[in-house]
Amino acid sequence: MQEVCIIGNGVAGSTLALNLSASAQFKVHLISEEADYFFSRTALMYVYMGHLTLKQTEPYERGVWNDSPINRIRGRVTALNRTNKQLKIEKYLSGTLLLNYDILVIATGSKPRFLDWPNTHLKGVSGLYHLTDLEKIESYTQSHKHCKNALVVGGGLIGVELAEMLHSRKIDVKMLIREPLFWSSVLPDSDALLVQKHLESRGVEVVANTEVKGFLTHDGKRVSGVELSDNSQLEAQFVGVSIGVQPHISFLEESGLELNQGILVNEHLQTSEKSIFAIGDCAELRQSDPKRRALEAVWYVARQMADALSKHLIDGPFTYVQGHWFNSAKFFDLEYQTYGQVSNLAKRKNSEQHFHWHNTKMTKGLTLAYEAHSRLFLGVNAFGIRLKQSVFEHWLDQSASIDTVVEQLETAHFDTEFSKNYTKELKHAFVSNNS
Amino acid sequence: MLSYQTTASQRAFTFLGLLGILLLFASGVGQSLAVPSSVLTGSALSLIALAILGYTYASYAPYNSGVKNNANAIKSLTQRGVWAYVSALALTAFYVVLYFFDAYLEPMIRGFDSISQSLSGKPATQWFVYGALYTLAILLFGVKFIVKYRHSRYQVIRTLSVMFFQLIFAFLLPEFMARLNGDLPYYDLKSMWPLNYYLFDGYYIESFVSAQSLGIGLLLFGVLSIFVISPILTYKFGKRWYCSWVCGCGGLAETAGDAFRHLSDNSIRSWKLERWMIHSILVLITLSTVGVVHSYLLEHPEDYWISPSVFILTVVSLLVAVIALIYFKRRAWIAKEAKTAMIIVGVLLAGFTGMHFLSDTYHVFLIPSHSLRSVYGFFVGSIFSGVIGTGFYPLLGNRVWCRFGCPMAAILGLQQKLFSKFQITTNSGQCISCGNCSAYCEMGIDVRAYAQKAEPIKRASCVGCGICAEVCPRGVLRLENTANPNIQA
Repeated sequence: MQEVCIIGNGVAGSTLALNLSASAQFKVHLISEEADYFFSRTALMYVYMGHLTLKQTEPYERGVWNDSPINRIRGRVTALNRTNKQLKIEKYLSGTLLLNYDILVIATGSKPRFLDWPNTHLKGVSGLYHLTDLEKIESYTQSHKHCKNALVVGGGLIGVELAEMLHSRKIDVKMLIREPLFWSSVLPDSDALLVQKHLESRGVEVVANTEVKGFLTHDGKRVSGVELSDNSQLEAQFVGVSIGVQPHISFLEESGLELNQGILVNEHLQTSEKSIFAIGDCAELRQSDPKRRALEAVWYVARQMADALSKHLIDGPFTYVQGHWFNSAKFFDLEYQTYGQVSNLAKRKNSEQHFHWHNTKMTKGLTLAYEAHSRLFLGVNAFGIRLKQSVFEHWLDQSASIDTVVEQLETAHFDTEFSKNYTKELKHAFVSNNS
Repeated sequence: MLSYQTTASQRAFTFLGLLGILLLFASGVGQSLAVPSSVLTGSALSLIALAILGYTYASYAPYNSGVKNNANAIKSLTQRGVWAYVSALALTAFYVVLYFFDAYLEPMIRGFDSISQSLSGKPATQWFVYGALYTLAILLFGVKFIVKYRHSRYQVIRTLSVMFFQLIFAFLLPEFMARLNGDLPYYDLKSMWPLNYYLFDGYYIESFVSAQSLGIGLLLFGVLSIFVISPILTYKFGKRWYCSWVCGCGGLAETAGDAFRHLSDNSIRSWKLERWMIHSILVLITLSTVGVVHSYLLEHPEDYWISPSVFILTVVSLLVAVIALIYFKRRAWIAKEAKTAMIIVGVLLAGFTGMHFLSDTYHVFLIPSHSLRSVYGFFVGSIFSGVIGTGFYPLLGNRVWCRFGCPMAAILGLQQKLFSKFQITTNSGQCISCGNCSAYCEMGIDVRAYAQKAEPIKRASCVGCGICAEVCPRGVLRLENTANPNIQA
């Protein structure tokens, strides 16, 4: 029996632990500094908003863990000894533990990125990633009387989550973004505009072309606002920071493992050390699919990596393949799904054409990307429309043409029953666009 | 945790509603004040209506349409706080008085006389008052539900449907029918056996028969409903056609109970309990109904063409036919559920056989047949469906009765699990395991457990309310009637 130590009980670590524990070959130790039970990080916003209790965000009933042979350890890994294959763990509330492994899997995820700003330590400044971030945000924004104005620095998906959370407590929110339009670092302008309009319709002001120079304080303890690069100041009792995340790997700096931004791994998710693997947000692929990134901090990717590594460890060599990109999000009430590649303005090549449609109220929108000459379908962004992933994967696999996709769009329909059918209007627009 | 602040207008309308309820119960006092009690009742009901509609307006009008569950997991009323216990106690007390101490309600009942007279030409009874309040609750909270989910046409249409069936079929039609033909018993056309467990009771059959062709037609419709109509509709649409589109119990749960749907326990333990309870009740009601009909036939050997033995034989043949169908079409399911299914079928067959040998005119298994029925009526009909089923909304969620007690849901559930094109489809690997679907499932189904494995959800208990698909932030779930019923999930 092989001793497997997994550091981190997020979606990557927990999925792997459950998969491996089903096989008699392994004794699994699952180490977490953050929480006793795996919870859904993407649902932290719903805990703050009061849609769910923290326990309801746990993807598996506690009995599943308690009845499993997995040895769960609450503690912080402080040292990794590669020669002796040993971890040093500071256990939560109860001293030090030395643990030997045959296989080590690092799944420590990310942490919010901060720039070299002055005063980031102030009370009232927080990212949103860790469970303790949620506790901090809760205490900083406890009462509407003390927190009337909040700022969110940076756009992106976590930024919108923060904005929606604060907005639900009737706190006035402004989003400060570097780009000219919301999330135009990823979305084409047509889509970025659609989302920005939606945010504004929900009462969130998006302040574009803005960079933050530092945080302000009156008493040296609590934040009182931010200073912008044009030296103007904005008042706020809470500042959420969401300019991105970075791999949470600082404890490995002395370990001798090959690191770049993340932990470098090969196609088997193996690090520079044979017995050590890395999965999830903290793993950086040495060779990635040209259409994909080497470092992808996404829930789905973490889960897929965990499934791939399970197969590799249980049944022998298995290669992690990135496949077609997909992702989803929700901007307040506007759902977003994407399959394949839709480039933003900066990355878009001349050969990539976009067909964009939205309804007059801008509550539904669709952008289809395709190659100008071959008419090869490249990808889709959908807003306020639900599309079937399996159908789009099929089209991408088959190198379907944009014309096929538009013609057969109904087969990918995934909206709730009785929803208004938008395809007629969309097809009409597509035909007049092409003639 | 931050205590959730309701707005001033929400508080004002809540106060108004409580005032209306107080006035309703105090309407007896009016007689001593020489105010006609119908005037007091009318004002009380108007006040309640105004309060619910006003509360709805104050809660949803200022905001854009979309999922509105803010602070549900924090508020005292919706997270088993003090207000939840107070409301549960009040509701439970109301049911206890209604069922067992209705004399106390007498002054209040008189206040409904004029409404009852105008509908059926008879004075109000406690059941008329209950029906009127029940219908009012579904209509008013139905409006609240529609406003809350106004962005979803499925939810709007479904809610209009339950409001329609409650108002017309459960409330108005039986009253009109009573006016047309005084011999007809109260009969809600959409309420089938075994939910309507007294359908085949002797006195009920007799009053149908004495109402001649219309009555016999209705009785026949009752038999067709459960044996022909419901299997066909469940095959095409799943049990939702009944449970969340037509049924009155479901109607109240969906509308008045909406705020409590997240309180349903979705642990594996409660799922086990649910299956044992609901199927035991189904066995109990089947045995007792067959027993009641059997002794009725023994009692009236000359009046009917069917003899008690032929009747038992027919029931046993029907059961054998169903078992044969399951055996030949759904062997995989039998392999999984064999033990439980064997016990159920065994108990039923032993019951029917025993009935044949151990019953006489007044006894089933040597137990007086009427007492078997009254025990069921008391524990299941009154205590479970009313006192616990509705009274405990704020503590156990809004579908306790439908989930643990309703024998109709049990039958439709078996049909849905074994022979239906309905399922909830998962959009491949898009689930982020957030838990909204499982938390807001009123039937306590752990929807996420399937969604995060990218599996479709085919559960006997699913009533197809569609809220999981509404609250999913990633558009992962879709209710569909296009599944292959031969593939068992």
